[in-house]
Amino acid sequence: MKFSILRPAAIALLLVTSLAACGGTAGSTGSQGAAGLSGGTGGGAGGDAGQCGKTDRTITHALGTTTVKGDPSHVVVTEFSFADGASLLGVRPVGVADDSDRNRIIEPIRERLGDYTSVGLRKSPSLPVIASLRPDLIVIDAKRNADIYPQLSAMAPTIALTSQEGDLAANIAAMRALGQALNRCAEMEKAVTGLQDKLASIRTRIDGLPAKPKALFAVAADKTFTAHNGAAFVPSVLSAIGLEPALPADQAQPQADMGLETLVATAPEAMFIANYTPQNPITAWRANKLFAGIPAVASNRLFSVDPDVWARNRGVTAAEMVAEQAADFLLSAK
Amino acid sequence: MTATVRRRHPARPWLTAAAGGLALVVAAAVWHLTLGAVHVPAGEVISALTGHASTPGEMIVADIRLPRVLVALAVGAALAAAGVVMQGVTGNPLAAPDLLGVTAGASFAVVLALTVVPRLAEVSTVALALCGAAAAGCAVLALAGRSKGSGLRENRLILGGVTVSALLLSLTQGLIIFHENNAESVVYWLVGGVNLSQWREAWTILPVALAGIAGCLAMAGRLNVLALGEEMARSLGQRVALVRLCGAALVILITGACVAVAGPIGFVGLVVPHMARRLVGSDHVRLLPVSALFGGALLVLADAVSHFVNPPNEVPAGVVTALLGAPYFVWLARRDRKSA
Repeated sequence: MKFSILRPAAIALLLVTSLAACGGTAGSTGSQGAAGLSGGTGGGAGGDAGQCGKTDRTITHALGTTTVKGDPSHVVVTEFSFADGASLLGVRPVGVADDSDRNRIIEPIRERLGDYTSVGLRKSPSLPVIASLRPDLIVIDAKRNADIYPQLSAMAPTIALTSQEGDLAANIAAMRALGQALNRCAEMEKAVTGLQDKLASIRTRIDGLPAKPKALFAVAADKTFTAHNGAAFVPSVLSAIGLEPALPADQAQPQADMGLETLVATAPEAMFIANYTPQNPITAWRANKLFAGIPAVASNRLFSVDPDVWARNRGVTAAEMVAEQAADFLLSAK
Repeated sequence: MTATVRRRHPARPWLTAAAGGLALVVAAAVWHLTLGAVHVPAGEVISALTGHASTPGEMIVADIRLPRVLVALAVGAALAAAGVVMQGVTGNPLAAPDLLGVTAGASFAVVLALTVVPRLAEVSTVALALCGAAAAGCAVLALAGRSKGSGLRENRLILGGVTVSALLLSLTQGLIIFHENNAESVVYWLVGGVNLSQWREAWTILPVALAGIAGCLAMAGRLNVLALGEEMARSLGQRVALVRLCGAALVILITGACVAVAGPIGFVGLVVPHMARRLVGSDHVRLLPVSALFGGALLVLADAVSHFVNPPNEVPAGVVTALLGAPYFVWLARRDRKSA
């Protein structure tokens, strides 16, 4: 009988703690997103631009401050957007967390990277492999990799920047911090300006549309339909080219699962869907006449997009590609 | 035993409990139908139910909410009935229908397809879940049936189920760990819910649930005899092993169909039979229908509550049943200890 009490009690405890953990994560993401936004406009990490050119640079990042010496050349990164940023500045990371699948890195970045050592999954990169590469700078995701920050800091100067669950501004702020860490602020500023110019030109390209549709970006996988709101990366890129997000920004929860009824109520005028699995809620909803009535579906503006470009990669190159592809889709569907 | 039970619980409380269960089902369903991202006035809910779905609100009720409520009702009722049979054939009040390896088998098959052989997932994860459930169920029966002479023993059934479930669960975890890349897609197969159910799912599960519950009811008399103890049942001429085999097969079929349609939903099959037993005693003729009613009502309520956990987003009903079921079970266990 004692066992029969313990088991449900343990399960209940487990549930409560896991729910609390979920809540905690959402909360901390919110504050990161907010910090990233201010960083994008010159505050936060971006405010240390004066560090560039110094031999010992103190980089302020999400998990503290780290001193980086000289020009790092053995860099390990655990997110595609950091690999993108570094390679844009001519620094080829020696180690990249690529989910053990080179093809997940979008082609332009993959070509720039050349040969590198895979350090495993982005969520849980391999510490021994990272150590064996003898890095002089490690760049990790502020949210996903926070738990291994102490171990990595013991190996090499480590900075934690926003990639996942950060919007465009937060990702740009992360790029600027990366530029300082690599001692190439001017080059990074050039890349950021290049992105902003590109987005502005795409914005004018779709000015010709009769009406700019409210756009929804979502990831569909087997039994989940995860919609990204204005606080997430892709919707913020889309709003930079003038497409209002169908879901307003929610910093506490940039991505959330959605059912058909909520989707019908949201009434997006254009939908960009990254399909992770061949069978997913979208394929199941197609038979439903309410789905057919959603403005985006009724006007043939339901687009299937590449999950690697739209969902897994963030950063300068992915932002340009997302904006470009969105414009192409909308102009061809006109 | 049956006679004493009947004396302690005369007919009227049984009928009251059944009527209460039915009223709860109706109330839960009506409440659920009024919930959702879109506000639909009660009048439109009623007109949608009477077959006039012309306004957007009525269409939402008829094409999104109603099938979902029906699936929740069918899955909850079938799982609760399967739980009663499971506890009956094993003689163990802690036995839940998912103990027979069925749930773990379904999850494993789907996770395997989604992570290792994505081509398989193109068919249909529902079909995969059914195959996985059936294979695991057969493995458990084969393991349990292999005792010399004595046929299918209740402990062997539980041991076989626990073994196969543990093996499959650890294999599933292994797949998720080694293929963390695709882990986003598999969460549903670890918790379960009816929030994506449409008419297709409803038409799949309703006949299975009805037939399954009818099958359980057909076994009620034999389960009553088995409850007297194996020796007594044998001396009364019951083929104990056959009853156990039929019961286990029924549980596997019901749970397999439920998990294929709604994912692994925990606690309903474990907690509801306990609740019902407190109300109507352990006569299976009464216990089964009352359990089915309360099981249906519980899952509909859990799915309704899921609207409020993290609005406007939805939480799978499996999370809510565990949240509701776990504290009840703690209370039940503590209460039993006090009275013992």
